[in-house]
Amino acid sequence: MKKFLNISLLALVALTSFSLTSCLHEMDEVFDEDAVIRMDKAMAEYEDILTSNGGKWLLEYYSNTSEPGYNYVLTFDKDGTVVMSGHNKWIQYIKTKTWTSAFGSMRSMWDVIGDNGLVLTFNSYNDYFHLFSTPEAVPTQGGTMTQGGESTAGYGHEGDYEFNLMKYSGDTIYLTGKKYNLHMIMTRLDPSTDDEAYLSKVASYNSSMFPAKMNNVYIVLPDGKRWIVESGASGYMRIYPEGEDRVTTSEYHNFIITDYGMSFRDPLVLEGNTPGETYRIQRFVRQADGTALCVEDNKTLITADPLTDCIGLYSWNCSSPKKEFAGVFQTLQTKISSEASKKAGTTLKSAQISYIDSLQTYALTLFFSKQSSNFPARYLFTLTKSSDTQMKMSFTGTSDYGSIYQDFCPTIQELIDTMNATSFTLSSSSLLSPETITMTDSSNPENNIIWKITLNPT
Amino acid sequence: MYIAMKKIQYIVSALLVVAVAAMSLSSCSSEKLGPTIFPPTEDELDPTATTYQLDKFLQQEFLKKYNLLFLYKMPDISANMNYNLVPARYQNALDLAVTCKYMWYDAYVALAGEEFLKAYGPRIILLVGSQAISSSTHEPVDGLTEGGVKITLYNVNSMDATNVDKMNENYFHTMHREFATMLRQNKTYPTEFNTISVGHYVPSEWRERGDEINSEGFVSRYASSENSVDFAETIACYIVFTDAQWEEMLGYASCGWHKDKNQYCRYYKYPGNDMSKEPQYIPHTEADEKKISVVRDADGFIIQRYIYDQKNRIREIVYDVEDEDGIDGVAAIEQKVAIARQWFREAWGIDLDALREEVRTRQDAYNIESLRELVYGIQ
Repeated sequence: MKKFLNISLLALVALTSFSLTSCLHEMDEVFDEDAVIRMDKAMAEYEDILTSNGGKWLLEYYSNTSEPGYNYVLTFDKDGTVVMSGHNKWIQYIKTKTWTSAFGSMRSMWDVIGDNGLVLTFNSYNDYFHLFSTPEAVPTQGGTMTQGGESTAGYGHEGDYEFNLMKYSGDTIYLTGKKYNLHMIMTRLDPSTDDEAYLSKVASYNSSMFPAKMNNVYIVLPDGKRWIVESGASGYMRIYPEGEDRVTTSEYHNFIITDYGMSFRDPLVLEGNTPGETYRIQRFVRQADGTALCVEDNKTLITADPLTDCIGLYSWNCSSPKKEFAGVFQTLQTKISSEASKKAGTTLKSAQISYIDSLQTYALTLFFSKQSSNFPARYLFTLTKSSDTQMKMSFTGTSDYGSIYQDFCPTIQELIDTMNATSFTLSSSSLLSPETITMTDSSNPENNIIWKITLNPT
Repeated sequence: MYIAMKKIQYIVSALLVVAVAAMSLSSCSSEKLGPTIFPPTEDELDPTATTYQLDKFLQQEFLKKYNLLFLYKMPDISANMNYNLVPARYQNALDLAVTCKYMWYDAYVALAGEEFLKAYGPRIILLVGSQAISSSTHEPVDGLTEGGVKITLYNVNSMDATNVDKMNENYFHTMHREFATMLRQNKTYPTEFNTISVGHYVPSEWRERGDEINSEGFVSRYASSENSVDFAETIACYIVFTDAQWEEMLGYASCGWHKDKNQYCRYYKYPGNDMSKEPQYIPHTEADEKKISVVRDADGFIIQRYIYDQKNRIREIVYDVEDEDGIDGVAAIEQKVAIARQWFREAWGIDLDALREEVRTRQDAYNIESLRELVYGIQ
């Protein structure tokens, strides 16, 4: 009997413990609240975050891994609507079937839903945003659908419009596209931001940061290793280590131009001079000289060839010497114009510095106009570069109408002598995109000439 | 004695086990249930939300009446993830919601009553802004019915609710076809239907078929993809086609067709009426057929067709292409309609012709502006 009681007691204890185990899903020890309530709270929190302080955010949006990122300004309203503003070529295509970048803004719906986690969804169609998610074939530049374009039917850009909300930190929301898993961020904007003005300003950086025909842009790592950048203007750059095989070592990365500079879609891990030693880079801030400095290490730089190398690669044009020659050069050009007018009935119309392939030398060309014809007076020179920004010109002879106009205008010789004697310092608003280069007398900054750079190689 | 003691032990043990088990079960069942996992709907709409009027309309007209969830704010998870899809435009969603009620639900209610739709109507209607384009074939899908409970309507963003003809062709047609599909998924139709066009279905290449399709006994190219689709398409076309459209379709079904240079032709001529020359076929396109003139007798019957030659001088006589496919297209279509009519009557108690008339009446009276007031009028 005692044995029986012991067995029964054991059975009782075992079953009681089973019953307790079966009730452990109360989860009181781990979470204070039911999962549904916690999810509801989290959704409400994100809704508050999105709509508070004016509800204005910048979304750095990527539709896929081979297109540039696109800036969208989003203004979330508590009534469930959101104004989505963008400035890109796809918006322009929708509006006019042309391909320049254009601003577009439209109100549509948004929501934060629970769907295997928190999801921010833009759940009614917005002409200027969901264009990246439609399955229709992606139109090709020029507006006509090519065979290749048709083959994208069913895919489209493959952009997401639902995003897993991953993290909120320091007025930045980290998102992941729900279907295609691309990482993106949203950062809070000042509520007074004017969508169109802001996006137009950023769009202007698109063409200036990596101009289509600028040569030799580099990512320079902290140890000096240079990676050559190509096709930056496309928003999908090709990079490869300088001195190594372009075909086998190239990598392709898409990025976004922003108001602060630029950011790659995902961090890049690039190898430096020492094999195996790598640098992780992603975001770059535009510097006063136009280069871009890496946020992560504060050392890696995106820069271009020095300004002294730009001479010869491009035409340096001065369309109005009267305005763009300063100091002693202004005085000289005035005298030259006066002499040309008196003795040849012409005026000094413009000036140019370029490399003359046929003569294999540099030339300063003064264009004199008469009866709508231009008479180029060329003065040939060689170049000495003493640093990335310092150079001297040494004139060697004339070409075309050079000697003829020298006879008419004796001051031309004075200009040549002055330039010969001057050490010039070059400067520009941007190293990456030198739209203008100022050539300044190193010993007297008042003497300078502003040249507009034509990016088409001469 | 020992055996008796053992028996007592077992009995007591069994009682203890039952008692403890009962305790453990009762301890679980007394636990309070948490909140429902389903989203709150009843009277919890936010009156300040921009979509309040539409949401209220959907709640009143679909959710409360028919237990139908009308999803227009597209959650990706509700759609086929194999496709790249986008949500519907809000205005188009609103237009389609009121149109669904007017052209579809109310038409069936008039014939079969609300209980019919409560029992057999879809539980979910999902609106999708874009087409569902297959990334392998690059071909679009305009509607989908799943499991007899869910209908997905695609390409909502291309909708122009003010154009009743386009609405009829692209949306009313799809609604009735998908609903017929749903009804078919609930109650099977007579297998006799499947024998009418057996051997003429082309599941993968139906899009390639041409204007000859009616003469092969199908109301549309899509109908020729498979017999179940044929059944739903026959019903949808019968319901939404105007008399003129239906007669025109039957007219094509009665023709002979010839494929010439990838174009389907039902007429041909001899250049300069010289029958010793090779016949020239006249493509069945609007532009080409408009050039054909007719000569009628006193009773209005066509006795001759002719077309002028390229120099506009000679009247060239136009001949009908011989119908050589061996199929009586008109008879096949009418036989299919008869089976559908019988199935509607016997399986659902619905008079298909009365339903057709109801839909026609509604088509004629269709006015999207007044339908929108069903939503805009909500306070």
